[in-house]
Amino acid sequence: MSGKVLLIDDEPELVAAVEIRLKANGYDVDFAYDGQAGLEKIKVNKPDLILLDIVMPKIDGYEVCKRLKTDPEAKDIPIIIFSASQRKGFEDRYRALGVNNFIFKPFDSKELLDMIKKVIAKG
Amino acid sequence: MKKKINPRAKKIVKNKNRMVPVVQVENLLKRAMHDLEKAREISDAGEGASLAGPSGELEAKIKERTLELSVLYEFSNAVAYTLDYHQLIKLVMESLFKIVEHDICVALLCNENIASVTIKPSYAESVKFTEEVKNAIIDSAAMLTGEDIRGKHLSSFLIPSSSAVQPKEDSEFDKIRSSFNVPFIVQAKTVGLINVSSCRESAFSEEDIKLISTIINQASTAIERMRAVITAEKSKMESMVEGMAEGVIMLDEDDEIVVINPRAEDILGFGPKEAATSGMLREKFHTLGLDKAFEECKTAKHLITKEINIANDGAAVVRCDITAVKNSAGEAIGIVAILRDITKEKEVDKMKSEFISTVSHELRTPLTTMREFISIIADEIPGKLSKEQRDYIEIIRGNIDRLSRLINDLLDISKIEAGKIELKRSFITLSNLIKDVVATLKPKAVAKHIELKTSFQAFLPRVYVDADRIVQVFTNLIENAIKFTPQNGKVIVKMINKENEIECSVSDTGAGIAPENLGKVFSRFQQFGRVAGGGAKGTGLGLAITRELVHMHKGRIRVESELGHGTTFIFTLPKDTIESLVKKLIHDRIEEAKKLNAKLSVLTLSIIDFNGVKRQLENQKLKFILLDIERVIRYALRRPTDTVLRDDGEIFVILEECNKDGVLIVKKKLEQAITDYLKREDLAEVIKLQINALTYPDEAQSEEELFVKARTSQRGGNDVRESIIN
Repeated sequence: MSGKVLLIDDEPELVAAVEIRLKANGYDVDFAYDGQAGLEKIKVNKPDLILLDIVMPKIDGYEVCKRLKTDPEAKDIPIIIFSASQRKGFEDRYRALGVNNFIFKPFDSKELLDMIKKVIAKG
Repeated sequence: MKKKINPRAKKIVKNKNRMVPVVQVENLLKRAMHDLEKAREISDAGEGASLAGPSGELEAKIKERTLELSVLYEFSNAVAYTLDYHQLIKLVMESLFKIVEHDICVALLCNENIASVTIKPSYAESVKFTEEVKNAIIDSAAMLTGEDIRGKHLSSFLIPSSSAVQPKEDSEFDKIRSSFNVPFIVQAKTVGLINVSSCRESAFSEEDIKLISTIINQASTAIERMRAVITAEKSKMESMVEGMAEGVIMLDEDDEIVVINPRAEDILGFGPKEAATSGMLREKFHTLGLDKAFEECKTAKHLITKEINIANDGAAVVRCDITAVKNSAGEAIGIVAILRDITKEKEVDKMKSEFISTVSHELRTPLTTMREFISIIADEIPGKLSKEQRDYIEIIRGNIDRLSRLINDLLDISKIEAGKIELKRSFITLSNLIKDVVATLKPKAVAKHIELKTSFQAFLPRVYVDADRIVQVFTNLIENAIKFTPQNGKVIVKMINKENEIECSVSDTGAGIAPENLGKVFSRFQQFGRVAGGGAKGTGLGLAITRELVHMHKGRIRVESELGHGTTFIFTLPKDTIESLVKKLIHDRIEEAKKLNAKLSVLTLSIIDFNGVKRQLENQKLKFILLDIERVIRYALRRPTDTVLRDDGEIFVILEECNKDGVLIVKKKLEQAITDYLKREDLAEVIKLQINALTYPDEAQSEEELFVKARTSQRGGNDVRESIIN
């Protein structure tokens, strides 16, 4: 399975690890360390999937989601929320935006790969 | 026979400012009775004297005097302990009625802000004079005291006349012809007035006037005493309340501000230099919504707590605890409100939440990076590994996971302690929940050849709990059991339906726990009796968390164990009656509805003449029919958020976010579904159902109201929301 994945997370080392994992599974990987840079990357090169961290400086994950979902060019790109927060109920506001995929850190790599495959396949 | 009137009797009437000594009155009475007896003896003894003439007159006079004295005696007794103005006036008027012939009596009592007028007509016909005497007394009082009586907050009371009493025949009830006022004087000041009026000319003799005055004097003394007591109590309270760190506001039954301490004024934004007038305070109450809360608390069963935001210099959050003071009849006679500035507390609370979530995020992030790189190496993506390297990598991975679990548990327990865990309750069938947990943990048991089974009755009542948390409890207990049981052992999960609670237990055939360790089992970071090769190391927090979760559900947990004979953990979950469950559920849903500004609807379906139906059908059959009906209803409902609860022949359906129109649609659907079912099963003649529908907040404003009204089967005939199915 292949596709273009955009990683937006402010932890460079974690990004490096996930990049290695995804590349080993045949994905094209691009990344950004903050929301602003991420949004710019999307404009230049539209990804098939966005793996999005929530707690980030400048623009946080929720804001990125909002902007993407209101942008006609970008609203169809599937998003997986990548979060260390396990607080119940925080998912609600993302679901309200139409984002329904969540993976919690620390994650199981098999789980992550399965989810990415499923979400890209759904389109 | 000449009889001297006791000279002491004269003295008593003269001492207008002293309360009639009760003992003296008592003695007078005794003597009067004695004299009367004597007079009778004499006339009985004959000597030809008749009861007419001087001795007859004397007897009549003595009788009258006796009556007057006994009324005075009763009055002074009754008034000795009165602390209630209304009661006092009532006593005064009743006493006057007994000893002075009059057609209508009216009393007025006033203080700086309030004037209260009490009217007692002697006969039903006297009522027509009410307005006249009321106005007259107000004018008289105004003249006498020089105060603007009409400018005060005026309240009137009418003491109904006794319908048994008929006016004397010779009275012409057309207009008031005699009227007499007596003032209530307390400490040289006129605080009120009493007036007796009659349609007869010159109705009141000097004797009458003296009697009235005596009573009024006693009453005035009583008022003086009452005021002294009230003032003493008030200043006691004021000095107590003056220095309090909390703001205190007290209102009386007329909503007048009785007490407001400096702290309360400060909190409300009135500095020490400004004198807050009653008017300014009332306005503040209104702006902050406190006046509404004051009204609410009068009819509330418990105290009301309100958090308000006050912007003085800076935003403050103030917590107001408001409760009504009730008399023995349950009527509100006052309101007490305690104000606390909780701005700091709220900030600390916010910091706690933020700390917990920051820490969790900060700890998990490096863990995630570590885990993923280890995983990448373990999967040999950068290159092949030697056996040794693989082993070491596995050890690292295992420890990272252990750290991860520890962080989760720590976070859980600190959230529980900070009170940050909120149970998200729903109705679940416990047996299904347990079956799911067992299925998840089966592989672990199988790996150790441990038999993992369940033992419970099939039909267990549904419980209202936080499903995820109860899963956590069972997972913890069963995982522990598996860990601490050697190969080929047994783990059994039991569930017993007791009268008021459900008892669950997890037992194993492990090594057991030594008696000296039993008490420490639920403490943190305690681990003992581990069986070698028992799987991943625990965090030592699992049972501590489990216990907290059980307690949060108002259950109990304990452990029973014998060394060498295995261990059993037993916990209970309280069982509510369907009624209290429904009320709890409605309450929670109403809270949610309030937050979302949504509506909530409740449907009750009840089997008409359920007892009759019970007699007709066999027990077992009826049981199944009821279950079927419940199933039919569940099937007909679309949304998972709709809840169905059954109690014998009554079924409650709670529909979230459902307005009046919505609930009528659902009602029709259910009617149809049930009618079809009954026809199919040939039960149409035997079972008839009635459905009521109710919506919050349109038709009911509280869970109590919603519950009660939804159940009432007697509703108006033209109520379209009610229907009968058969």
